[in-house]
Order: sequence, then structure tokens, then C-alpha cells
Amino acid sequence: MAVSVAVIGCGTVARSYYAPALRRLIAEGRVGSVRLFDVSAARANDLATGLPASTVAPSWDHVLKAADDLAVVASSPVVHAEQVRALLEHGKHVLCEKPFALGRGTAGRLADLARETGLVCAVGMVRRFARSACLLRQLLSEERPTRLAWREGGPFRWPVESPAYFAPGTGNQLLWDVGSHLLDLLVWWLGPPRLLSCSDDAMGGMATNCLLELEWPDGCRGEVRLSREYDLSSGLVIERPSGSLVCGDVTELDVLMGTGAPADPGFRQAIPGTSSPAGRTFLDCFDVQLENVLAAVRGSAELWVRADDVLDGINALAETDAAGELLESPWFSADEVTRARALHDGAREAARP
Amino acid sequence: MRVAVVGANGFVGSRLVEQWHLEQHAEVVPIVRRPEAAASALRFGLDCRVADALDEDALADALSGCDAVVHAGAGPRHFVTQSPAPIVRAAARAGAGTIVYLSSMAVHGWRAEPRTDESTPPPRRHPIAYNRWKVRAEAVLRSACRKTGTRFVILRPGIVHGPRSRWITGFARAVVERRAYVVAGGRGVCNSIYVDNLVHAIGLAVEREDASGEAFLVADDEAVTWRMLYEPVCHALGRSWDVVAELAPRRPQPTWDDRLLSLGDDPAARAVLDRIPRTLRRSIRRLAMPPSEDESPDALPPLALETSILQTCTYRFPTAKARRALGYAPPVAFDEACRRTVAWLGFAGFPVAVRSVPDR
Repeated sequence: MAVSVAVIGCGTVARSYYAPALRRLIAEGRVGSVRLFDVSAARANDLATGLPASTVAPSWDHVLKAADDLAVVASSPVVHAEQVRALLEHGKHVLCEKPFALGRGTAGRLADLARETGLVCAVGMVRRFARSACLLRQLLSEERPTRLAWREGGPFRWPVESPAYFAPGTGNQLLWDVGSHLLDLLVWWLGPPRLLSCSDDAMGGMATNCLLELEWPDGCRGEVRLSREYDLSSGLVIERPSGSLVCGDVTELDVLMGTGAPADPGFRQAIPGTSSPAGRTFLDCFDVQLENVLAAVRGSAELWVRADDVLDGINALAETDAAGELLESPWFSADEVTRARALHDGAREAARP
Repeated sequence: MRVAVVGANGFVGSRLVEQWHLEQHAEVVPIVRRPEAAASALRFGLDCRVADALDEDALADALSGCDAVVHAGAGPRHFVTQSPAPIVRAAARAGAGTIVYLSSMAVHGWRAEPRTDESTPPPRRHPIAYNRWKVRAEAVLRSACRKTGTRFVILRPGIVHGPRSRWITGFARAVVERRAYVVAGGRGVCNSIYVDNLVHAIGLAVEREDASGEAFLVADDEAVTWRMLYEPVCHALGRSWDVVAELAPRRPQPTWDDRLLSLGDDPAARAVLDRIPRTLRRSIRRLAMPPSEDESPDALPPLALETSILQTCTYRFPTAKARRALGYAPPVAFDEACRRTVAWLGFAGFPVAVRSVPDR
């Protein structure tokens, strides 16, 4: 059965990742049609040009009333929750990009709604479809870690339309962007952590650097450092009693032991409803994710990442976001430190409900 | 005063934005070429504007409401030599009456004659392309300012160091990857200037109306050698100075590989080069490079002529004119600058083992 798909939001994610996967699925007959919607009709038309079997929806109302099976929500994070709710209420299966929602309460209500309606509500935690992420999950279930450090950073190069992207409250914060992937995987592998500290360098605007310290009930401690400014030699280092594990990038690189040898060269993770195992590249992961969701929509496979599965991760993000202290910038003069603290605290105070 | 900073996401521009905003020195308006480059400035929630410095119309819009413009943009040859004119014209259209242009000591060359100062006309011929571009850029700026009646000050800093400096990150990365080197023991004069000292000079240049039309050499107070600049970085990364190789200076004439590599800076040559298949380009580059006997990961790259000339500099440029006319007095001593830089290295993800600076 060919699935009809609506894509909500025709920006970089839709253009760079969903469009190539949909093109292949259309050619294979697994997707029958694609309806595109964006607040900018020009952007939707632009995407439609390169996508066969696609049409542009003239309005959001049109999307809700159309007979599509699945809606892929790839719009601005701040509207995800509202769009997902409306789509579920109109009987559409949903695959929502991260972050699913910007608060635990909202995310929980959406998960409840999906359960009540019996519709598929998948969350685009694409890294869970990576072979290395699956392998780490298995290895960490066999032997708990004692300590881990995860760094992910580089100059921000994601093509955005205007500086308004960085306005507080848009949901594009560093923590809810890259951080949502990292916390989701940590929760998936190890269960929910306790937040020991969180600091960032937002001083009246949106942070470009962030540091989290976490602790799990068994005593394992973790440090997560994120940056949109510095090349942090990204990677994950996990210490276990039997030795360490290292992975430079869970979507692109293998898991290595401290010796540099692959941790499990023969590991293969089957993903329900897909012909390929968990991916070894970011694009593979995207393809596998979409195949899994289509299979779930057809009723032939279980979802790999359900809305219910991401609630603890969103809870951890929300706690972290609320607790942010000022990240020390050690090159500042004393006057700068004083002013930076005032700006940081002032913005936090203003943002409090 | 509202000051626009062109190149606000670069090394000097980003420090200027953060320091002036935090110290409330002026109302800063960061200007960046692409929206995504606004990330750093927008951690302060500033009014960041997007405009290409070569696009006069876009820039004139972006500069509206500004009183002064600091040109801290950097880039390839065409940007360095062409950007001053549209920036000056856009500033004039927007009513921003003052331009501070960040040039470089390099306009005098790093083998300058003794007693060289701002009154010495910069030579037109330089073995290093960048130096020629900066000479050209200064001339373009002066001409555009004359035509528009814009007040301008040219600052000629030496080796600008500090957090985010490519001199520091490049060397730190080389130490980590075991390929760090200095030329002639690092004993050459560095003509360093800590980025905050340059920001201090920029502030004076914006404010001192009587400095208009002048160029100023600016540097740290201390006589700094390359080893003095680099050794704290090495120490912070937990390595002794012994891991830094000592290379002999190169002969002063550019070789064929220098000439070939510099072709990439010429737009016309670039257009031709871009049509050559990548594999062929790689082969040409390999042929142009001096053969290396050691192909291990620790092998040092060929010594660039620019590095050799820079690190064998024997002349310490004077800053007397800046002190006299601008009131320039570097607020951050070199040792404190090194301490802050080393502290920043850890923040930026380098494997810092020691956070103090060794005693000299």
C-alpha cells in the first residue's frame, strides 16, 4: 500500500533529508503522493519543483482536511506541539521532528492523545536508528559505565533565514537542538539522570555554549559539553570497569574500545519493518527511520521511537533548561563577569512564568 | 554612540562586540554576512544585522542609525582589497561619519628597516601576498574616504593573539597533533598585541576626532618573542617545549610552490584552477611541494615563506605615535593576556592539563 504523505515545513531539514528519502520511496511505489505545506509558499513551491508526485497545500486548513495518511512535521520547533495536536485530532498519523515539544506536560498530553486515537505518533530521534547508538545501548546494558563525557560542537553552519532564528523562545536553543539528541540517547541507554549542574553563556540572548553535569542512580557521572562556536573535537568517551568505549559520532562512526579496535564488528541491529539494519551514516538513519514509520502506518511493524519513549528525555531537557547558571568565560575581565552575570540572571528572571 | 562592527563573528570583531557590550563602552551593532554567523553575537540578544560587506546597498541599510563603523572583516584577496570602498560609501549614505579600519603592521613588511614607523611609506612590493593586499586596501580606503568626506583612522596591529586567535588555535592544534614547530628557536620578534589591547585602541580611534586620516602602529607593551607567545600554550597542554621542533629559516625568495599556492588567491587564476579536475589539481600540488622523507602523522608540513619571515623578524615596531596621539596604553599586560588565553583554551575544548602560566 502506497502511503500518502504531507510534509509540514519545507526548510532545510525537509529539503536536505526528507526530500531525498521521499524521492526514493516514491520511485519504489511505497509513497504515493506528497503534499507540501509551509508558511512561505515560495519555499513549498521550491521544494515541490524537485519532488515528483508532490503538490503544494494552499493553507494549513487544507492540510488538516486532506486525506493524507502521514504528516511529517518539520516546521519550527515552537509550533510542533500545536501542529501535532491538530494533525492527530484530524486523524493523521504523525512523524514529528525533534524537539517533539518544549515541555514535559505538553509532550505527555500529545502522547496520551496518540494513544487515545490509536494513531502512529513517531518522534524523529533519528540517532536511535544509528548502528553505533544501538550497539552502545547493548554494550551499556551488559555493563554499566562509571563515567562518561560527551562533547559536540563546531561553528554554527546550519543555513537559517534570519537572525530571528536565535531569538529566545523559538525552541532553537542549543540544548533543545543538538542537546535533545544527546539527552535522548543517554536516557535510552542508561535511564533518566539527575541533573547536578547546567550552565550556559546566554547573556540576554540564546546560548552558544553549554555544559551539563549528570548523575545516574548507580553513581555513574556524565559531562555533556555543547557548542555552536568551537570545534570541540566532538565525541563520546565512556568508562566502564572493563575498559573504555569511544565513539566520535554515533551516526557516522563505529564504536571503538580504548585500544582503538572496533567494539563489535559483527553487530547488526534490525529495525522493524525495514529491509536495512540500523544505519552507518546520517542519511541511512533517516531512510531507515522513514521506512519504519511507513511500516507502522501500514500496520505491519512496531514503531522504533514512539512519543512515549521520548518523554523522560524531554523531562531532562526541561529540567536542565530551567536550571541554567552562567557558564564561566575565563577570559573576561572582572567588570565583564559582573555584567555578564547580571544579564544572564536578568534574562532568566524575565523568562520565568 | 552606536558602532557597527563589520566582521562581528571574526576573531577581533567577536571580542569587540562582547567586550564593548559587557562593559557598556558603546552600543554595538554586529554586522555579519550570513544569518547563521549571528549565533555568537546573539547570545547577548543584540540587534545583529546581515549584509555582505561587498554589497553597498545591503550594507547602507544595515548601517542605518550607526555613528561609526569598525571594519574588522577578513577574507580572501578580493574581500580584503575590495571591501573598504563599499563600506565607506555605505557608511556615508547611512550617515555613519567615522570608519576605523583594521589594517596590519604587515603593510611595512616583517623585514622592515630600522626606524620604520607610520611615516615610512609602505613598500608596494612584498614577497607575501597578504601584505600587498593590505597596502592596496589602505589605499582604497583612503581614496574612498577622501571622496565621501568620511573621517577615518587606520590601525596597524601586529600579531593579534588571545582567545579565538588563529595563531593560538593553530599552534595548540599542532602541539596536540605533535607537529608543532618554530623557526630559529622562536627567538624572532613577535610584535604581539593582545586582542583586548587592540579593542582598546579601536575605542580610542573611534573617539579621538583629531586622529582622523592617520595610521597607527599598535602592539603590546612588552618585547615578545614567538617562543614567549607559544610556550604558555605548550605548557597548558601538558607538553614541554622540547616537543616543538626547531626549523631553520627558509631562503627569502618565494619558491614555485609558494607561487603556485598563491595562485588560489587570484580570482582569475582561481576560475581557471576550478576547471581543472580535482585529482589533477592534487597531483600538481603534490609535485609542487618539496618532497618529505617522513610520511608519518608526526611529519611537519613544509615551512611556508610567510611563517619563516614572520618568525625571523628582528624589528620591534614603535607605538609612540599611538601613545602620543590616541593616548594608547595597553590595559592588559602580556602575562595576564597569556593567563586568559590559556584559560580560554580549556573552554574551547583543547585538552588543557595546566591552567597556570609558567614563571618566566
